Amino acid sequence: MNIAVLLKQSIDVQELMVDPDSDKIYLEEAPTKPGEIDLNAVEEAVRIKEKVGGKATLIMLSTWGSSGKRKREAREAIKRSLAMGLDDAIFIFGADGREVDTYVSAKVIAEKVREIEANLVLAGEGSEDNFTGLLPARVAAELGWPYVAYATSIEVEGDHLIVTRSLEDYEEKVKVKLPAVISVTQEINKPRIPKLMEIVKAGKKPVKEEEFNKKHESKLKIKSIKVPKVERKKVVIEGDLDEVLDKLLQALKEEGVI
Amino acid sequence: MADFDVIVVGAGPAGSVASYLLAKKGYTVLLVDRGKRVGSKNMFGGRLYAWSLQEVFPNFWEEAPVEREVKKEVLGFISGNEGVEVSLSWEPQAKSFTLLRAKFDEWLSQKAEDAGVEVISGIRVESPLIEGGKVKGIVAEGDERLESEVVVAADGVLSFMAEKAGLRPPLRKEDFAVGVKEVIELPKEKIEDRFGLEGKEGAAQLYIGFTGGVIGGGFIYTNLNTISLGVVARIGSLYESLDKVQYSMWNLLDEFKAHPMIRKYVRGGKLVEYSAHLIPETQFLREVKLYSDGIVLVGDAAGFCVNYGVTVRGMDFAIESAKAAAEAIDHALKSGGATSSNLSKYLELLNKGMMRELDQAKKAVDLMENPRIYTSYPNLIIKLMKHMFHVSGRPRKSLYEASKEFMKEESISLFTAIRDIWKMLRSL
Ligand SMILES: Cc1cc2nc3c(=O)[nH]c(=O)nc-3n(C[C@H](O)[C@H](O)[C@H](O)COP(=O)(O)OP(=O)(O)OC[C@H]3O[C@@H](n4cnc5c(N)ncnc54)[C@H](O)[C@@H]3O)c2cc1C
Repeated sequence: MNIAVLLKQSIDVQELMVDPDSDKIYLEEAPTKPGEIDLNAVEEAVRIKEKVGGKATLIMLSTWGSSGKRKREAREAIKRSLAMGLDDAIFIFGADGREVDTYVSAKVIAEKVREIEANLVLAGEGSEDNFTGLLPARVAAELGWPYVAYATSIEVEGDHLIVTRSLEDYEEKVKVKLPAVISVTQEINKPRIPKLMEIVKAGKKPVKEEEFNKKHESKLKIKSIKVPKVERKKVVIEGDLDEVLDKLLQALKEEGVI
Repeated sequence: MADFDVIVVGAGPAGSVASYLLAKKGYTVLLVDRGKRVGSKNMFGGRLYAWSLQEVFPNFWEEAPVEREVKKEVLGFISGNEGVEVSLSWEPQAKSFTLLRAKFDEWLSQKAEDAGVEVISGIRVESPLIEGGKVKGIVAEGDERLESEVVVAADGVLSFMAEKAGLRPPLRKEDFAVGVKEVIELPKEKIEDRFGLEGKEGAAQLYIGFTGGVIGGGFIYTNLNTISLGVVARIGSLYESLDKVQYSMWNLLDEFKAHPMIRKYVRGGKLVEYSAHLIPETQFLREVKLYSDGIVLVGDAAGFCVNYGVTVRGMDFAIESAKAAAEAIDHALKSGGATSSNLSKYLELLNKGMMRELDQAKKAVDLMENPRIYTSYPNLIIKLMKHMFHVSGRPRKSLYEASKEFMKEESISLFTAIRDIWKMLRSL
């Protein structure tokens, strides 16, 4: 098996700061980190490799600008995934999030998948910041491979995979012939936490760094990124405790909250 | 065989500088920090005195993420709603810079990494690895054991490494002061106008008198487009729990920020960060053993930090101690191993160097323990100034008469005042 794992650095939403007065979002200042579900994809690749052998390569297309800070964060994330057990990595750097929609990303990534002659692409079902969920499907389309989404388990049977997909009301088992693209959900596994010495050793695994090449034009242009407005009701309830509670419950009922 | 020659725990200034210097000497060095990103959770008041780092990286300020060079010192006395500010504008020969730790610590650790240090963040070290009474390495989270010839404990004020290696007694709250700080964003021009600065000049402003007699005070440091504003106070035996301390510290900070003299500096600013941290008290240093077989303590872990009541100096000492530690470790490893006796070179180097300044600083600290500094003297100064500027068209008492009266009001005898001043002159 020759696996390509897709990992995207997402904005760490928990550390994202917003200025409520001017609506300014401090995107540049916010750190990036690997998407949680992408780590499930990394873990699954390592598990498959452990079972049937082969090789697993990380492909990362960095999309949040090209500052030194972003590069360091990305390298750190790559090192962690290598420490989890991937063999090597391709790191495509220099793209601005506004230049690359999923259309462009898919083209760039598919090219790399062909280059390393992978026969299985694993990705998370969606990134943590944009969550378009489009990328794996687009990569499959670019490659002309079958695509199975929302996998909760993957089993290898010769040159086929048996993929379980968990859907809202039922579970589906799909048999798919390789090569294929699979997106995984968070239920599929629990990503391992690499040990210190594994991280140290991962620093010596090969990482190919490439400049992003602007040959494809994005179809989607982001015009602005804004904070959703939450209008407060600004109701003050006064009185003693019992009174306040009654009034509060009443108000909540009127609003249809309870 | 050991996994590394040296394992350094904690990537604050002490840890990064120690590992940088050791890597430069050709040793294999692992630097481990528990922060998700190096420096991400580290804090201090705001000012680094350049002397010790300057020897490691000459003119580091041209390259490092420092904010402003301090060229203005302000001392403020607060009493109720009133206050006095005394300000010095100067061209100090010994440079100092304001900075923000997250960026600065990351830069320093990057220097170490460039020199060949393995820098690993996001991993907590649980304890030293002890065999036969000697430190042989570390135990990292997940019970992972790593061996080294020597361990440098640079894990800061709470140093569990030092405690678990038996080099210092368990923590008592008397051994610490506590600081809380906010970083407030303001346009660069506003900062320069409000603080009377030009270009990359910075201000360091200290205030006492609003802590209700508690030893401590407030500080403001100007960064490029933020200001660091905070409060430092002795924990002492005032509070039963750290939670309560935190609570009252944040209240104190709010009061400080709302004072008519202070609020004009921060008006319209955006709170972008807040943090709290402990400060080791110098007297605690007496109970610390600085090294033993296979381990050396540096920086706050060793207690090399001086709390002058309001200002704290620790980064420069952390860096200086790291330099001595690196030299001592090099000496020990070349003389047959990191035994306690070979490592005694560390103390020797410290005694020749920064210990003298640290001792002197301790005297200043003793002076600052005087509670009158935090209540009576600020009141007195403000009363005198008010008296001087009071014009009502009627004759007033002479300044001498007035001071006698004010001193009585503040229950300071002439004798006490002379003694305080004498002590001050002697220790400075
Ligand atoms: C409110 C306040 C104001 C201050 N103001 C100033 C000032 O203006 N100027 C000045 O010079 N000094 C100031 N100081 C003092 C200064 O911050 C410290 O002296 C200095 O940071 C000490 O450096 P260090 O490298 O020894 O420790 P730290 O900077 O505390 O670094 C310790 C590092 O160890 C890591 N660590 C801790 N435990 C573990 C573990 N178990 N495993 C792995 N990693 C671990 C931490 O993540 C951290 O990165 C101030 C301190 C406070 C609290």
